[in-house]
Amino acid sequence: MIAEVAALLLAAAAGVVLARRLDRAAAGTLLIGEGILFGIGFAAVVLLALSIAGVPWTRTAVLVAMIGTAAVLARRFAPPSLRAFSPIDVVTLVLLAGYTRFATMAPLWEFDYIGDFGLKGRAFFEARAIDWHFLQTVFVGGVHPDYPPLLLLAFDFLAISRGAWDDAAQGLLNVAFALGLLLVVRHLAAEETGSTHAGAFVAAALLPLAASPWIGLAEAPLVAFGTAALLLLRRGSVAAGAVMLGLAALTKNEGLALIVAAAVGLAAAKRARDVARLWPAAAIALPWLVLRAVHHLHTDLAEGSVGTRIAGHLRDPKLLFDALAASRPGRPFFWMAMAVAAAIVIRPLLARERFVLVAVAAQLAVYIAAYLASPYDVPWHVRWSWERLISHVAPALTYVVLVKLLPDRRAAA
Amino acid sequence: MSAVSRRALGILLAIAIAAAAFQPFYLRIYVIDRARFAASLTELPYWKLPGMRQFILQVRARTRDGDAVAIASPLHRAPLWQGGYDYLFARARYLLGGRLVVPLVGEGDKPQPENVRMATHVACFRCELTVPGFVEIWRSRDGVLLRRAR
Repeated sequence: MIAEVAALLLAAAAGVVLARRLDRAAAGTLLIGEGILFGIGFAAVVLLALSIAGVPWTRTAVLVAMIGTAAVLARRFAPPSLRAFSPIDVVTLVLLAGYTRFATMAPLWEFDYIGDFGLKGRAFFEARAIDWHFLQTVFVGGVHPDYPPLLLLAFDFLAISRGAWDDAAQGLLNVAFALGLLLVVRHLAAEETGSTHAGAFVAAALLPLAASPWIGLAEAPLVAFGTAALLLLRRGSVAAGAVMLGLAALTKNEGLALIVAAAVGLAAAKRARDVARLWPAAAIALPWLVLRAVHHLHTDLAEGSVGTRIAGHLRDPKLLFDALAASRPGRPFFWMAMAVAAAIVIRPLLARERFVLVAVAAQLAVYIAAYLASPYDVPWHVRWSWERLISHVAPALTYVVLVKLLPDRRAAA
Repeated sequence: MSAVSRRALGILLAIAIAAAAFQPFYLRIYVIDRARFAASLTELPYWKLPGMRQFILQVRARTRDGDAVAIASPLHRAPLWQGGYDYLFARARYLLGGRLVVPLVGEGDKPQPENVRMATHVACFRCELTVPGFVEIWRSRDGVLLRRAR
């Protein structure tokens, strides 16, 4: 896996350059975390651009494009400094190493990887470009030709670096996404609580939420980009947050919804001016929307009469509510603890976390609307997706609850 | 509630959230039998059709990028997860990356023999087949592989 690790390090280095440009206040683990996430997104965007330009994907073309762009953007290269360390970080590192062992143990086994993400990524790799003909003619269901391509392109980035498709090594991407998000979380929580230990604790607590169990699926990058976006926007790092939002939108259709949800959250938090500053998110998402329209890639949720389906499901909402009630949104004890904690800190949560709370509520509302428009059997659709959808918003919610629970050393000082 | 109690309760609840979210599997994985677990994960997506993965990998080894492989089987069309023709086809399509994978069974189990025209090879899983213009080049207990006669 040396080639894949080297590729991820290269991406992270290019990403740090971008992070310095986008987030002047970023330093330490925040800069590295942003760098990892931006870097993987950047590699995917480079492959998308090369494909649009008709340049076949080769190691040389990718290297020249990435290093060239980074060199133009870099003013000076100064490696980020890592000063503060907490013993709690050891727990995170041990768990993350265990996750790495799991994610790279075997050729990726999830059906959505074999039947969708991995299949398309592999077809693109074989064609050394986005294979539009494959997307338009793919036989038998289970493939979503319209899905945004960031994850597939990230697979291809690793495959191009190796010169071959290695579907066990592709699991490294899950680790990189989790690591990137945890580094962002660790820095922000330490900054907010005034304590390195508290920052390390929040990162350790969020590890199971960032380290998605669905290896090779788009949940891990969506959680990483989406959560980083919400937390950076919450902090006031709007440019970096907007780019993260754009990368989320280039990962899954749910990421597109998150742009709207974040805008609603900003408006609710009386930050309407920042809504316009989300334009980079739309700019990153737009090319794929245009390409999928130009190439007539169908979207299953939009098939047939959407209005008729919504009206039909609204006439019998019990079906949806029963399905939601019967589904498992992850670990029950976790949600019970979150509910008790949220009740304890409800005042500061409502007073100071309006942005995240409203954005999460808006995102969940979009998910419910998608179920209402679903062309599939609703209980079946809910059963096989609700836990994953909840996993998209759980880390941001957990973060805001945890930082409200932990003592604020800055206030004490 | 005093500030000290509130602070202690906050820390306790934060620890409770972390404990409830904790994923012990990421620790347990250090002590499990790695080779056995990896083997079970490798077979997991194919377990409903035993022998399928090895059969398709052998087909892959005997075909090249750019070939078109038609998939024949007596299995019926069924949802992707039910071990029918769709299950076989969707997984074969991934394992045969680089080749065009062509179905020979359509909606309602309707045969699609016309698709053979596209094929350079026919992989017949759990069946034996003779197709005019094709010759058998390999066979195993799980099926046969035909190649278009040159």
